[in-house]
Amino acid sequence: MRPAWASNRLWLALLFAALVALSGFALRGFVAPVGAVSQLRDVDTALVVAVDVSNSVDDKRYRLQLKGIADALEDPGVISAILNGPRSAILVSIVAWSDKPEIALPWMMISSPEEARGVAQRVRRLPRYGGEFTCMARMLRFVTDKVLPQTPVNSFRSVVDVSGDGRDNCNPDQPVAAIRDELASYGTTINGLPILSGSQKDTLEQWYTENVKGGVGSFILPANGFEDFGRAIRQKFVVEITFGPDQIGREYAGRNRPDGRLISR
Amino acid sequence: MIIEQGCTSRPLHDRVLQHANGRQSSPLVGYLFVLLGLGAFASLPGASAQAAELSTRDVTMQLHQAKPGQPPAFTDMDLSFMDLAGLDFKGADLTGADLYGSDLTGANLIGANLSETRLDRATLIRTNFSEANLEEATLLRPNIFATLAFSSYDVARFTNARLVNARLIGFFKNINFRGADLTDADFSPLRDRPDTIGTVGRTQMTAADFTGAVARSTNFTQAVLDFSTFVDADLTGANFKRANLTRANFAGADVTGANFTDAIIDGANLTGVKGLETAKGLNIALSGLVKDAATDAEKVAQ
Repeated sequence: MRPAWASNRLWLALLFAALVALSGFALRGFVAPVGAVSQLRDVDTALVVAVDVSNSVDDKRYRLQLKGIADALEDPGVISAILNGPRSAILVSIVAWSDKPEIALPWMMISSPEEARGVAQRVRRLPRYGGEFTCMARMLRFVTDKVLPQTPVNSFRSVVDVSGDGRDNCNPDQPVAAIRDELASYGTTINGLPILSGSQKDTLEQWYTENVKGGVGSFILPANGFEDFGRAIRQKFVVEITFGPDQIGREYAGRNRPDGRLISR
Repeated sequence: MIIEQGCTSRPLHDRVLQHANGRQSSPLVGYLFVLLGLGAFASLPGASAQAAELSTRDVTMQLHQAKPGQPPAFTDMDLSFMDLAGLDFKGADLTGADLYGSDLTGANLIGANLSETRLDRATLIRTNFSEANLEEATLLRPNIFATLAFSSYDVARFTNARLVNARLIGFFKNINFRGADLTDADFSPLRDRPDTIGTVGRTQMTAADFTGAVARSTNFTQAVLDFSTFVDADLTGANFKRANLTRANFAGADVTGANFTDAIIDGANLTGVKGLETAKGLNIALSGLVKDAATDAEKVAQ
């Protein structure tokens, strides 16, 4: 017959083990926050989403852009595109740009639907960034010099998503196209999402095509106003994440624009 | 060393090679030797970076790729007018680097070695120099404002930094020098040059914090230090000649041998100050204050 103290000891050991297990589950969310680059692994795409926060972007328009990005990250098509990549993971960072660019969302890894939802939640909770002018050259310089060189892991390709409702109006030292070319020379693809609204509605897409679009497989996918941003960014994400550089945009050409026109290439 | 006749026109490396081999060698071999040497030098880490002009992207990549415990070195490099905002230079070696006009907004320079660097006209908004070594560095008229409206949020931090023999002129309102070593540092204005305009005025350090700082023999001549805090600071031999110290707080500071000649000390807190008896000019300033107070009291009484 076993002594009473041995039985108590067994129960204590079981209780201790249960507590350790429970604390492990409880702490998991704190120790390894969802989407953080906690485990170093290579990714398929390092995606920089550059969001226009200039004077023409009021609170409502700003939130529409963030909602569009967050919804796109949670979209089953986008998640499927991420998980079906060779490395089943991407990096995402958001740069809010106007007079001066700022990192609104530092590099976050998405390698599961849970991480995608976590990042989307963070995007929805981002504080309001704002400014006066549309300093796109300064933003591209910032991405070239500060953001992409600090990519925490190796990526098969790097893509910069530039969205905005106007052309550069900051009288930059270097033209937008020159910095775009420099960025493309490092192997980065720069895609444009011109938001066609306001006084530059009719000319902005052409300006983006000439000055923003660059690099292998780059394309322009316009949105018809801020209300259409969510649709455009979702399609853009799917294209950028799913296909190889030589295929980007081809599948979407001519059938996903609301007006039926071809995507600029 | 004996140089044989007829060998003087031959390249030195050829002669060295000949000497090493103990036999006559082809000049071509000598040239290859030199080329290989140059190639080896160029492949050394840092050699190519120093030879070429660094871009902001290069600096960012060097900082990002630095291994733990091996901070990157930018010794004697020309980083003038570069956009270095927001970069993490923690522990980096920037000895002798030229940072004239560079933008260091929000940069992290904690523990960095910035001795003999030139930080003149640099933008130092929210720059963190805590624990950094700025010995013999120059900070002439840096920009410390993000906007035209002053905000204490924007000021640079020099907490526990080493600024021995550093030269500082400009607007340093609310600047944080807590625990810093400012021995022999110089805050005095530049001497006016004849036939020039826009001369640099007095260094403005209103409400600066020197708590626990060491400012031995530091030159604060003509500096505007009103509402500044020198609590428990070592001000031995410091020069406050013609400085504005209105309502400055010297509680617990050591002012042994300090010079207060023609300084304005209205409302200054001298509670627990050590070495008052050896401070120069302070007795005159104090007696003037006492006299003024007595006059005011008489006026009130009348």
